[in-house]
Amino acid sequence: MVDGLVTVLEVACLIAAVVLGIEGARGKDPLWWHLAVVAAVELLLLVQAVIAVVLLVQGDQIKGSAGVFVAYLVFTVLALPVTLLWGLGEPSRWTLVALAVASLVVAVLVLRLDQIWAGV
Amino acid sequence: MSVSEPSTPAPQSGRTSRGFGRVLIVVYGVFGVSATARASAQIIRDFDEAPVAFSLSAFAAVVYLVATVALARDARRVATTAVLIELVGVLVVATLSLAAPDAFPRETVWSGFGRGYGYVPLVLPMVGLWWLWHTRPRPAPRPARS
Repeated sequence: MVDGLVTVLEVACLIAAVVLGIEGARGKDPLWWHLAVVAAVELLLLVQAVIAVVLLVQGDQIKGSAGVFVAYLVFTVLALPVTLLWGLGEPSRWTLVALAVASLVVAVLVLRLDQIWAGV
Repeated sequence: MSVSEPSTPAPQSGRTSRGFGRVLIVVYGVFGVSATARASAQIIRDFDEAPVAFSLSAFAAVVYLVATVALARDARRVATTAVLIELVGVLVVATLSLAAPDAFPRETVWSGFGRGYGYVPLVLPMVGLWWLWHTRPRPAPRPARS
């Protein structure tokens, strides 16, 4: 899709996963700056989703399965907010660990999105 | 990660949705949703290519969703059943797909012990069973007699 953005997203997701994972492992409760980290990654994911939609509207073709692409795209946008809401139902270190896991999953799905787009 | 740390607070007896359970439920939810999406796409587009494999994928997806909801709602019996089905499923299907590859022309989530998914399908039911055991209902401790 957009090569630079994929790299930025991968780095952002992995940094978020490591930072939140360490904070959770140290037994921290969720703090505002943890939420800011999540929000920053989510913002990048939204940018990617908007770009993908714009490219598709302009007539770009997905080389792989369009259905799976759209499903994954929706998933990458919803994964962190849903995990955050679910985790804050009982704010604890595990909220941070859950967000770290979700960031890792999003990192994998962003790679898959790029592959499906290119038809790998 | 820090599952076995001594500072882990004792889980509330019988509750699977607390503490580490929240993380487990997120992983189960992720698996349930993505497996459902993938199986639906496969079944809608090319079911005839591998009806057995795709039906199995759909079944696995439903079991993941059931496990997610059951763990989140502290429905221990349903959760245990779903997790056990997953463990048996991944072991049987993986063994079969190695022994008789012709029966599974296309990959399922359980093929090769979940190799296509970082072996998460193999590890997840084991962690799930451990968690169900860890949070098993225990009678409240009796006051010590003096």
